[in-house]
Amino acid sequence: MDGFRRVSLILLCLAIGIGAAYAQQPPPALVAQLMNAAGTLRGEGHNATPAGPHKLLTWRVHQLALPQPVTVTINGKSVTTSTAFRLTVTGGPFPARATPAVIEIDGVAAGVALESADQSALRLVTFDPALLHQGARVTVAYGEVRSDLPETLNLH
Amino acid sequence: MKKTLHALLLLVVLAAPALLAQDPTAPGPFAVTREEYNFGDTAFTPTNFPGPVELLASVHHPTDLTGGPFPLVVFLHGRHATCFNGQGAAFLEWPCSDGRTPIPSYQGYDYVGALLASQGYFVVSISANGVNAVDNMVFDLGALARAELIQKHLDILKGFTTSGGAPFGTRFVGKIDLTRIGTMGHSRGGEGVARHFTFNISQGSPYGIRAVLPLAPTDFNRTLVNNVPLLVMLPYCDGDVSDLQGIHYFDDVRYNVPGDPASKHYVLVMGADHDFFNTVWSPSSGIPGAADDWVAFVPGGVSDSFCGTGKTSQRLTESQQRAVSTGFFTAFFRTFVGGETQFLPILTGDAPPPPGVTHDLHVTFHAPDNPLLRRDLNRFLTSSELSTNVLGGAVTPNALSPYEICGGPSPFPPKCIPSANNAQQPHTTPSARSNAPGLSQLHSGWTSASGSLQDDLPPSLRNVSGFQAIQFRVVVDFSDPRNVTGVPQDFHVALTDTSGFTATVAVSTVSSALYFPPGETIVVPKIVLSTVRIPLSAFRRVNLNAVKSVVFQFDQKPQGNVLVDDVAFASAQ
Repeated sequence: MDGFRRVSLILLCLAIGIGAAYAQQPPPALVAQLMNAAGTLRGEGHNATPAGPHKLLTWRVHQLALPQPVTVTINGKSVTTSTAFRLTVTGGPFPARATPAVIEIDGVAAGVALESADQSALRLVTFDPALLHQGARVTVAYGEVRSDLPETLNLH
Repeated sequence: MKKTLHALLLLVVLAAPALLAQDPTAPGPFAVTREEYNFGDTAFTPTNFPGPVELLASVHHPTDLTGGPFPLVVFLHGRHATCFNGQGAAFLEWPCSDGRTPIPSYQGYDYVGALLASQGYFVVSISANGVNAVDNMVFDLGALARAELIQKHLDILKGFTTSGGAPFGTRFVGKIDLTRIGTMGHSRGGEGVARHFTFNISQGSPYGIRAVLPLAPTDFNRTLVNNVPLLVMLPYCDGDVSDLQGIHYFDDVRYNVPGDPASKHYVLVMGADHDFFNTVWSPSSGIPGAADDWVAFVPGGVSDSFCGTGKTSQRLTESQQRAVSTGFFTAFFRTFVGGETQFLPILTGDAPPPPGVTHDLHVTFHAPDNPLLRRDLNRFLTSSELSTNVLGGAVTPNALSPYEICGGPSPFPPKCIPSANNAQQPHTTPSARSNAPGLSQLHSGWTSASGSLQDDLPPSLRNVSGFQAIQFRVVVDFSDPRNVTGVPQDFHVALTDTSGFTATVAVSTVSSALYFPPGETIVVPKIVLSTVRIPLSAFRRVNLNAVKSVVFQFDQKPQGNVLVDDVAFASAQ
């Protein structure tokens, strides 16, 4: 794929992503609650060697039961769900800054992450059950600067 | 000898506005009092926002209030750590846990708040730690929350100036002029003041926002700030908002509203980073969370030849950087909030920066959409402008390659330099929460001194004698080897009148805009257009009542490649 086509595809994806995102956002208060909610551990990595410019270490995925179903837009479709998932990426530190940390799954932006209070982790909540899939590659991007997790997701 | 005389005359002509521009940073006649009001860490919750926000602000004001009401300037800091502990660790939470102390980001602009107060302004700097703690969880990344926070503080100030209230009692009654307000926001706070401008309008414009200054701002949502004077400040060595996305605020509104009465400005500050404008965020503060963002966030940035820390570094120190913000804040707010016109030449680039401010910066200016102040010649918005300009005159390229429009909406290529990343091309960098296109611009290169671009003026529009200057935006394409690394470009601008007389001015004699963009680390070099303004008086003996063409003669260097936009005859006032 040449540069122009690649850029066009990225912009198309971005446009679709933006449109979809505007379509139906989960309530921010719910997302805030889910950032720290207890859940079922679906998998975790074990890397202890800092990787990339952001010194990524490892990951955890929790499955979270919602207090009540919510309707959100996933891949352009309106979906009502009672389950969410939280990806935690450790490493850093991840200082608070203007440019948001974007979590990419398999090279595609999945969402903006929130830094933990002590800046040692990033957390992303998703309502898409297919997003955090077996073997997924996880990247943290601040603008042009990217770090890849050395482990892919291994869920059980 | 004749050439020397001409150069001398040109210098005199160009220096004239500089002689008129006074120093906006000179302390004013008022003694200053600094106070604060604090209604608690959880006193406010923006609409649909997932956490509480404090209502805390500093107030600088003239100690003697008898001359009031005074105009108001509001500051809003950006996203940063919110709390710290005694062990030197910074945290992102709100309110702060026991044993931790809030980081006073709002105090980081006291240096300019005190100065403006001495000049007769109320200056209120708002704390927004509660927004910072959770704004990544809302879709607009906190823009509306920041706008509502500003509006809430204006409501509080309205109470102070109408009926009074704790903690000031009735001292401020009748002393704050809420019809004359300027806003400055830094980083995400810059997006906050932009969003606030539209939010205030949506509320029926209860407050008179006269000027908006986003400093190193984010622009995730592409808010349009129309019909108000705008100054965007962009630090070239920004290690945080390294794509300088805030340039969209300027680009997006140039031709957005017919009759827009407001001038628009930006300043590209070479050698400046993101954080040093705020003293609390700067390393010398010793407060956890402070950093040189270029070094902290750009891998390998420390060794960059321009923005790094080595012998060739052109970085500004903290104090040098704050001299820039002091100079342009005061010039901008005193012009557009205070109504002091003598500082306008600083904001158009016609006068040098205020004393003590680095001259390694580039000022860009877009005149109001008023036929007496601006006559657009070529905007390069559509492909038709490659052959016919806005005035209906012919556009004639000669020996130019490429000769194309890039960067705008489809079908133009979204980026002008396919090989460069987004951070290197701020005008076309994508936005996190908007799919608005980037800036359309002319991409134009030459391989011989015969290269030229001619814009003709139709007969009815050839009298340009009422304008101060011919101006355009331009930048050197660093990716094209026809431009020699580290060497400035140059070309002539020629005006020809209907009698056939032509006068030329070399861009290098009036502007440094054709610098070769410096640096080589990930996000630099950058493509940032800067305005070249050539006084029409410099085109000696040309009949300005009958100018039939404007020609860019690419005859000063054997080859090159530049991006060009916004060719116009223009005046500042």
